[in-house]
Amino acid sequence: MMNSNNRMVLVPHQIWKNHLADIARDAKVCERRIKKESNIDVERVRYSLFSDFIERWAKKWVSEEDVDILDLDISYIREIRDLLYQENKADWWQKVFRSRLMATFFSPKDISHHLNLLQNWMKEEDLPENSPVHRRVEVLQQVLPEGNEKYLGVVDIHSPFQRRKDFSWEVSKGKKHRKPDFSRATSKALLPEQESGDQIEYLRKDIRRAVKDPDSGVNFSNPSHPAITEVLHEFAYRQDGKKPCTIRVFYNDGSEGQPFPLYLLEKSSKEKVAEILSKAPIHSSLISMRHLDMDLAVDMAWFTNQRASRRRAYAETEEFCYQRTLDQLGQVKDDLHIKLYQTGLQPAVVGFYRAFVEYVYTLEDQDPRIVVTPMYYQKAGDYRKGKQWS
Amino acid sequence: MNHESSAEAKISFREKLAAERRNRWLWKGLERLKEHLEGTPEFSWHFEEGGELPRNFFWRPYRFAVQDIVLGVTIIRHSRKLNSLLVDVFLITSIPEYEADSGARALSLLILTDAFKNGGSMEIRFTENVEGGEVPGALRELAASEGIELEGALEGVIYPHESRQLYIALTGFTESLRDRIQHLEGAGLLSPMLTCYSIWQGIWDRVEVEALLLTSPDPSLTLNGKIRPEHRNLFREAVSYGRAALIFGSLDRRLRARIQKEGDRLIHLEDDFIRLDRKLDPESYLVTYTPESEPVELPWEIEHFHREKYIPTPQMKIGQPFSFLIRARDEMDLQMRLEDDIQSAHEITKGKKTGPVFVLVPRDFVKLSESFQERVAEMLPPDVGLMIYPDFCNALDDKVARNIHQTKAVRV
Repeated sequence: MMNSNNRMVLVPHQIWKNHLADIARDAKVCERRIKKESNIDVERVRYSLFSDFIERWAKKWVSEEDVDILDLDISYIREIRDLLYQENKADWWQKVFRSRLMATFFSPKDISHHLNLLQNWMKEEDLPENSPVHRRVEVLQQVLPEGNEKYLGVVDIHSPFQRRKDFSWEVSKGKKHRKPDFSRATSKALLPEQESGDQIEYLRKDIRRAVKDPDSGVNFSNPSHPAITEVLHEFAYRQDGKKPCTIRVFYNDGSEGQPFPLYLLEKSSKEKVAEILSKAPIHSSLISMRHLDMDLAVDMAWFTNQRASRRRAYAETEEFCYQRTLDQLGQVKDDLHIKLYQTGLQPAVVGFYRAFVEYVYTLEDQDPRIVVTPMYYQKAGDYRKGKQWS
Repeated sequence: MNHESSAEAKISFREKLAAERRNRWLWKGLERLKEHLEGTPEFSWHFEEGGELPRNFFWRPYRFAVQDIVLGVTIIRHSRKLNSLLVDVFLITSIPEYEADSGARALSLLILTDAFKNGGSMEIRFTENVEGGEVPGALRELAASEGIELEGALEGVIYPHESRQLYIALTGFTESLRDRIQHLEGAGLLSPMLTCYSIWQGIWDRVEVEALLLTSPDPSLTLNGKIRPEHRNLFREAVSYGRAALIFGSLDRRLRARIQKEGDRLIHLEDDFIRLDRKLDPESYLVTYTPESEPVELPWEIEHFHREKYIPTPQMKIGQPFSFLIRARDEMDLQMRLEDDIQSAHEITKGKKTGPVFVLVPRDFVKLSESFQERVAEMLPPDVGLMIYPDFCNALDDKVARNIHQTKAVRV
């Protein structure tokens, strides 16, 4: 039989940021959705495309530049798979996937986690020193001195059809291998961004770009629903020097929703908001039946899952949720505070807030006022409040 | 003398009895077939128009034919109650141009494949309408020729362990392949039954399965249907070797197909193949063919620089070996490795009777820069050519992913 090898391409943080960060972020969104089995077939196709893009970029970079590269055989992956298989045959694939042990790219902020995982694994399983996992750890430790892990990303590129007799099973450093230059990494500009703020920051950038270039747009399928809600809140209200405008809205299935209005709303007076907040709120989930443990916290659901989650283009879902929200807001007779317990169907979130912005913008003086407080699920029935929409 | 003639008489008497018995059950079988076809509501599936296939617990008629010559007819259904496959009609024909047991072999494989697909115990039960509730004689003889004794033959039952043995035996793996499959089965990575099913259900061609088992470092990845795109590191390994197997299968079929001209049309008749000797070197993925009965035309595109320089005729003569080094690399991998591949094709064939060697690569080669293509042309040694497979990696990868998905849908 033949053999395959994995070549680890080490990508400095700045280069990672310029070329791979966006695509790696999208790929990790796909991973998250695959774990949740949400729209799994589409997400699998997207994940393959993104991973393929990253690997191709790394191969191209390797063939064009003098870069850090390390040859390793692929057997460490098989070793991990076999050990997990012996341990638990039922969900071994899931376990491997959840720990990202079979991913082919590790961003600068993921790599130390990957290394720790492999080290723990070695200890737990008491793997011998010549095991493939041990060799990968050894190589990673050599090029990633302690404290500097976050400055390098790693892409595993694959090369099949190696003749076994030509292949060395020993760890061998690639011809072009050299120690990374960490002196450059002392600059603060090279420090990686904080994980938690990433999605918000990326969406903010995308929206700013879409405002500058009206032909472009924003893909709302990738960010999480709290990121969408918080960032749209920032852009929904008037700002000095900004004219009201709209941005184009896209989704992963290629459909385009109605434009979303920005810089349109006047902030309600604090007194009015305080008055509405003093009344008993309605606790509503955004969509029914998606998180049953949410039922304990809510009085009603804004959309029924049966109608909101119907199989159709995302833009159609957004339009349905927009129309439904306008209808329901139109029936409100008195000032109202809604605590909205949100779930992660992005078109429903965009549709709801588009309708809310239009409703508030067209309010007459005598019309009832509405305040919406988004509630984001944390852990074990705990919820975090978002910024109030009024 | 007397003794010999008496023995001959006994044999001829037995044959006569057997023929009478066969005839009797043939008429019964045909009668039963008619009853089923007239009595069963019309299925919404038509072999030309498609439609919805009947559920597995309905009686389903199947006909096995080659070039419109019927080799056998059967009617089967899965019994939920017994968790086994019931056979109500089992009729085979004996066609002089085909081996004597062709009909029995074809129907047995059809029945065993269906039993596997249904997810039952693999037990096969014959009703009273099939040779009085016994396992048909032709099937018993076929099993015996493979060294398998059917213990429940007189009760009309093939027990699950016998079915499994029979399925593997009839699939006809070579000894080295059986060893490889057993090794993978021992490690809990691949079921031999699933491998047989993949071939007979048409998910993978037999040649493709052989290539995967012999050349892939971990054929179970591609064959057992468990791998998913999110297991990216192993998934791309499964896809790379699956892609190579597809190219190999396509090459093999293309070389063997006897294409005939009928007016303006080119026709390939089913089951009409050219005899070729084939040797696969699993260490290098070098496959060497030697035409045995007639010259063979080389398939697909050979870069113009070789055709003029090294291959004066696209036909390979009888007894003249020629080889292919299969390298199913994508565009970037070709850029990184193709020159090494050409070099190794030259080295591998040194001192071996391989004839001219073609490094067979996907069409992705044409995406590479002209300067790279020129460089490759410059470095080709006199005995090595470059052949371009007509499809791109993307299309091949889709097909591999579909095959993996199809395998996933069945039991393991």
